[in-house]
Amino acid sequence: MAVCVAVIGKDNSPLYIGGIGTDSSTDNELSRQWLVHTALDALEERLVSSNTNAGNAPANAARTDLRDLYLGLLYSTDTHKIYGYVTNTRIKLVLVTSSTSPSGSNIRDAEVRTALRRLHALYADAICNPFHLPGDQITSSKFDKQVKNLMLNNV
Amino acid sequence: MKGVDSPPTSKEGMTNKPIVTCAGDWNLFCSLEAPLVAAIPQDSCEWRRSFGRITKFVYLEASFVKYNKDKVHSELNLLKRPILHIYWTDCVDIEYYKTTLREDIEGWFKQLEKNNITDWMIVLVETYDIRKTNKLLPRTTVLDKIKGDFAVKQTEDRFISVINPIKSEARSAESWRALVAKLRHLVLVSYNKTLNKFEEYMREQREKRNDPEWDFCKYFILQEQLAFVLEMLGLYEEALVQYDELDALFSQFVLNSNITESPKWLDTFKQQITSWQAIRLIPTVPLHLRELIIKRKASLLDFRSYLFQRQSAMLLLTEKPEEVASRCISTVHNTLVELSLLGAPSIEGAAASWAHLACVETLRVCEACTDMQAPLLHNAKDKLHELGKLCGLLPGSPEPTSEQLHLVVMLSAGMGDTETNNKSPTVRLKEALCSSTAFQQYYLELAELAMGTYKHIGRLRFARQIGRDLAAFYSELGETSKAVVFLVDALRSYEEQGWNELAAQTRLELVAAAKKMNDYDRYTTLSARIASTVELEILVRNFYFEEMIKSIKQNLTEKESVQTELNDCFHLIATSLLPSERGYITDSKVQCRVVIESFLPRDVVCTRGSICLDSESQIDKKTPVKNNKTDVSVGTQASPKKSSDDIDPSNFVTSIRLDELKPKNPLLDPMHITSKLHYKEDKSLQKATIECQNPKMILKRSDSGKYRKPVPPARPNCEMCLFCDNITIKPGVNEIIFECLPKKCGIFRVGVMCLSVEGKIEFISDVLLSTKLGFEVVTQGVTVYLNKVEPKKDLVAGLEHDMELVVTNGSSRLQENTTIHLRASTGLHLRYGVNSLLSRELTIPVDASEPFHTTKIPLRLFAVLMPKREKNIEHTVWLTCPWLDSVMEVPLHFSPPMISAWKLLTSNTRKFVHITLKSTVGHLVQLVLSEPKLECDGNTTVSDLNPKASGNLKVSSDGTTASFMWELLKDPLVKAGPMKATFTVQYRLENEDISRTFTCPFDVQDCTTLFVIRTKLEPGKGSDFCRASQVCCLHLSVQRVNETEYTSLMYEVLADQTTWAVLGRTAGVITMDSSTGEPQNVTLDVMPLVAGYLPLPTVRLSKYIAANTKDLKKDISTHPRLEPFSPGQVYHAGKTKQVHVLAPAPKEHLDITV
Repeated sequence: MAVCVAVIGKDNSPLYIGGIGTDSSTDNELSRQWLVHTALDALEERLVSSNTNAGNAPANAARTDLRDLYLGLLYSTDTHKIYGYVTNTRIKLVLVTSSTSPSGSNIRDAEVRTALRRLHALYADAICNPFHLPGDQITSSKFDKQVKNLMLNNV
Repeated sequence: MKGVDSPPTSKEGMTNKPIVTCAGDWNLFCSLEAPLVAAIPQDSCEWRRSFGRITKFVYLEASFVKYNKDKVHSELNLLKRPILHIYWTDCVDIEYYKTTLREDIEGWFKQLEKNNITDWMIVLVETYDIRKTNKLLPRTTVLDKIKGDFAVKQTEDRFISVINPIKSEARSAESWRALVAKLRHLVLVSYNKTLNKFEEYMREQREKRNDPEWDFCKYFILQEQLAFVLEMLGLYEEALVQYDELDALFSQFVLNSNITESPKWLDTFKQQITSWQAIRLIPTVPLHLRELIIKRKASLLDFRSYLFQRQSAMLLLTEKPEEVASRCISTVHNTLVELSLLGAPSIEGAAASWAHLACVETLRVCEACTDMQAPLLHNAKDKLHELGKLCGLLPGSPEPTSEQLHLVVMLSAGMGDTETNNKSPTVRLKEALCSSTAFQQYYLELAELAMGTYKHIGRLRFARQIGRDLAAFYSELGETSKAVVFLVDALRSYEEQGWNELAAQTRLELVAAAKKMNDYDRYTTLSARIASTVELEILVRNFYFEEMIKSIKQNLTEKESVQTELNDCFHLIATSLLPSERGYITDSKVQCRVVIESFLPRDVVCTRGSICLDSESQIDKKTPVKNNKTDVSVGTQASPKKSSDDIDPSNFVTSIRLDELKPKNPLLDPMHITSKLHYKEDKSLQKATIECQNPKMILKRSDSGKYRKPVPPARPNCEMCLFCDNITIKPGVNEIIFECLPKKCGIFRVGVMCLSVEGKIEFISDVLLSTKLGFEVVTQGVTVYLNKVEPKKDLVAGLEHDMELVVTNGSSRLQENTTIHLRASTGLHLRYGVNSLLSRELTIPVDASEPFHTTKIPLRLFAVLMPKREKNIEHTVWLTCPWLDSVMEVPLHFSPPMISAWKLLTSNTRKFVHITLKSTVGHLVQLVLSEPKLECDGNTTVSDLNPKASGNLKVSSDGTTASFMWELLKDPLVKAGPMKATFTVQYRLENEDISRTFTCPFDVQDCTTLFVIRTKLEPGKGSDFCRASQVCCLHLSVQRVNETEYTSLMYEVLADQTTWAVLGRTAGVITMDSSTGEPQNVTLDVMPLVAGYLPLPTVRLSKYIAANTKDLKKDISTHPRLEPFSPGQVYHAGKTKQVHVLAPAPKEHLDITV
């Protein structure tokens, strides 16, 4: 399903970037990083807009919006779609799907939402490690394996 | 409009008005058509729909056609099918109705029924007749007749009469309004029915979509009808829903075709793509495309164009241009994906042209919403780049080949030549494809605009990405300097946010640009940086390492050096100042250990490393105290009191790990959370909360100041540095010792660090600036002490003492030919070397020596013993040293070796001198005395009464004294006067051979005995013994033994009142006869008070100077006065005589005798 998954910290620096898939001239780890990086712009835009919504008085709907951590499709390119998710502590989870692969092009919003929720759970598990300093890059191989699995499971 | 069967498709833009047929009196209708058509859209009508759909108010339009009984329209053709049938008549004559009209209406009705049509209306147009209205009860009218004939249940309202507005406008208004309202109502009722039916059919059709025979195009046209109707009714959103459903359906088919077998109809869309005209966002229906779809000749692009145009039209009608923009992007992306999925053959670049044009066209629509413009521009720019690449228009590419030129022609042809408008995107694109300059101009325009727009809406990362594209473009264009600007910007933002790999990539691009520009400084530093980027592959790193070395050797030979940040290639781990035994002293080495990690892939030679030392200038200059006094020890130094904490050297640390400098991660702090239970007034629990005590501490922003532009640290330019030279830095952790010799003292802070690699690249770091790493350098000056060799012993004048001159170098080096000049105060002599002479001034050479060396120079010191009886003798030595500005003063304190005391003793007229010597020196000194001598001046001689073996006499400070005695032999013929005598004795220390002379002079005055007093006690008369309490007789005789001018003398008997009682006068004046030596005798009665051996009462003799009675004027004193004699002038012979006094006689004895 996904070709790349990224966990991005509060300060917008990458905590984890994992990708699978073939390395071709147009689709390689670096190109995915660019995608994830630029996705942050769209992601932050969403956050800001949801914040301002919350500031406005007709709050209830906005508040439920705010509570929804899944931000949906952030933007798309010819070849990829980038989805976003943000935790309450402003850890950003980004998932990139490839529109050229059969499974990626056919993906449903709900699937992405589930995948990102699972990623959130994995992330939470990973940083529960008492030896992990919050804000450090996630180097856990278990996390890596699980995330790769998450990406593959749906491919 | 009046055309019976004018196909709606032929009309401009295809407006789908509801079709209403007119039967009956066509001419009548024609007279009414114009006002009717005008009247219908004037007001809205409520549209009630079944299935609980929302009731809407819609504005209607209608087109009227003549009823044609032969033309039967399918129920499924929503557009061409008449929606309402009206029968018009103006018959007022019942008879005519009965004969003709009724039949006609019946025939019409039958036809309608045959076609299953229930939406009809019969209008009776009446002419206003005043007569009629005047009648109270209307007669049965034609309308009533018609109703009676044709009406069935619930259709009564379909019969309506209207007063002809043409003939009597004023009266007709009300009925006319009723007609129009009814017409609207019935049209909507009909629509409701029809649409429900249609939708049902549509659903049915859709359910069949998996049939092999099912055709999407057919279905599309079918469902689109619904959209048209909804659009016509003004329900644009619902119309859009229809299109969206179609869109989704199509997309799903295409996507599924990839997985499962694709249906046959999909082959339509796999056909060769020949046209990629720009979409046109206009509200009218692009009929040529629709025609293609109907004919199944639409390519995928045609279909997508059509669909998007319709969707946009709906959106624009609902005023949502921003939605158009966002849909444009997704449509373009989807279409491109679909193209590849379907594999529709086309020439290369067709899709890109299409996508580009779609984006640019959309841009024109949504000029108002900048938010959406940026992605469109971005996309348009990307596609243009793709085209440029295909057509060989990119800068740096060779001249376009003939194939490429052909491609340009093909692409241009595919775009069509619909417009001549210069500004149209199609025209621009064609122009751009024609020449590379036009292309470049267009590309740059789009890119700059996209970047600017991204920046405007705050999407900096996108802007940076376009910046990178631009950089690549400019780089190809040869304008590398422009490229560098973009790359540097991008690089900085990646670095700031920790996207190391992206930064590394950008650096690779930047290094290529630098090479192109021959910017060797940048090239070298970037090569170094890249070589130490761990994210990159080792081969790349090694390559750039070689490049760096090569560049240093080839390109930077003439330059001085290039500077870059230390952090690029090294990581400073820890720094510590090595402790020094004596503290940090000028001219002694200060060492600083620096632990750095090198990321460079290989060993590198650091030709020179330096750490700048910033001197704290605020600190006052007086701190280095030069020690002038011998008794003040150096080293204790008053720390500058007025300086703030910041520069207080005690606040300095000497060792630091750079990890510690990082701000503490607030997430690691324990959160102070407490739980609280809140109770209501009735003590029941209201709520339980957890509260964070200091949310601000935990929730404070930590990412502010993120976009600070990093200022490359300037190369230090300071006077003092810690240095290290020629050190090989290995990959990984290295330890480097930096050293310096501070020449001046002060407080120094470790500042900018600079490693010069291969002599050319200087890696500079200012992280240490923020640390409080520092030290204080003090000067320990040269000190000179004049010390006693035996410090516990006092200095004794008259004895030679061993001293030493101690020169402590401190932190400085003593140069050769250094001399110290000593000058002593008068009476103090110095001797340097064993055999040299004693002198008051000395010049002592000091050998050259290393710092912290102590030179001891032995000296001997001798204070001349003055013939004074002072207890303390003070001397001073002045030292003149080359390193001191002033003369150093050393006070010295001496004590005399012995003190002499003398006494004059008298025996009658003989005189003796008694001299005692004792030592008061603090420590034990034993002096051997010899050759005592007393010399008197004038005619007095002395006779030595001392034992001849007096050479053995000793004086010691433990209390041993020595005494000497001489008798003064005076010539009696000479009149005695004041006499000077000098006592000399030779003394030496027991263990020394050299004897020195001790001299003590003294004066003797009035020592000649003038009078001798003799006293005698005799018992009273009649008794033989002296008894206590019996009066005795004291005989006092004063005899002159030498000539004297004093003749009047007063005697006083000074008796001890406990032993003697003097009866009568105790004093009296006697006058000595100067010519004779006869003694004067006085007798006094005294009574001893106690028995025993009693000393006789003493007699004092004084000069009596009588009151001057003769000459009152001369003498002030009118009273007599006494003057004492000098001790030696009166000799009291009986001074020590004692008399035996018996106890008083018993009283009984007296009584008996009486």
